Amino acid sequence: MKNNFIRIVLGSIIFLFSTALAYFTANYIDASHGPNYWLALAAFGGVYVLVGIVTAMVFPISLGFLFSADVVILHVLFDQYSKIDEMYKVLLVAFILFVLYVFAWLKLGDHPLVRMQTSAPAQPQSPSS
Amino acid sequence: MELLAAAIVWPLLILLVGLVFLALGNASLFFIFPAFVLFVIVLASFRDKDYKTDYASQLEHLRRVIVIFSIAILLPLFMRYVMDISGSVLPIMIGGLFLGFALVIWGIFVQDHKVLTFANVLGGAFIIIYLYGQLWSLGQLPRIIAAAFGLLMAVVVSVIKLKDKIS
Repeated sequence: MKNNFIRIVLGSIIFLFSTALAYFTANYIDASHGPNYWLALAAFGGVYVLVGIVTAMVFPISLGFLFSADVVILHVLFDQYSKIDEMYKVLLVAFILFVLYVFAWLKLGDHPLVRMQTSAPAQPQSPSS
Repeated sequence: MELLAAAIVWPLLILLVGLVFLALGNASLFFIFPAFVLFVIVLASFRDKDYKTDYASQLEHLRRVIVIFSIAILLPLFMRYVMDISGSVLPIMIGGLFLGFALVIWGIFVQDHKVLTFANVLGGAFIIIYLYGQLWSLGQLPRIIAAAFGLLMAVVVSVIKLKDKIS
């Protein structure tokens, strides 16, 4: 329980600082090197996704960066979505559907092994006399 | 690979749900309200006693609900964007109807995969409903063709699926 609490706290700290770093850096780049705010944010989102995948063995670091990437990417899309060409929207939605279908097909089937893993733990057998 | 999947699955699902709601900003209320009702109904299945005590099962169930919801909403949105770039021509609409019915049939006949069953049936139904609404603006003959096609597909699927009960 204590370990999980520490993981959550550390992950939250990483999430907050990585998100702040992305926005502060994007603001600096936009102010000093021309209007590249959204491009910088998108770049940070991509980098954070890569870092999150590479550090998958350390859950707090990985999830902190990945959730931060979620915030950044969704913010970029929210602001820029209406400016995206319709063809790219089709490709984006098609790609997302493809990922969802692959994920559902591989990971969310009703296999007996999955049911056994998610069901209540088996009763301990009594030792034979 | 399992570790990677466990690490990225929840941020990925959050991103996908965020994209769904982002894309819904351009869609009509027709999709938003029934989709939200559907989401609430499916989430209400958490009240099932099997999920009350097992935390892992609750997370697994939530993951399935999110995937079903995302697929069911993204499919008609995908068809809407295809219609927009193609100029709402009749062949594309007919192709979309084929896609919708194909997804419904796939969902009905897939074995041991409730996620794909629900997602395909709901997503295919949304596509069909959306396209029938679009056909209304094309005139009398396309409506008749679409209605006849839909009726034929429904009868064929019913005969195949309910063959044992009919005979």
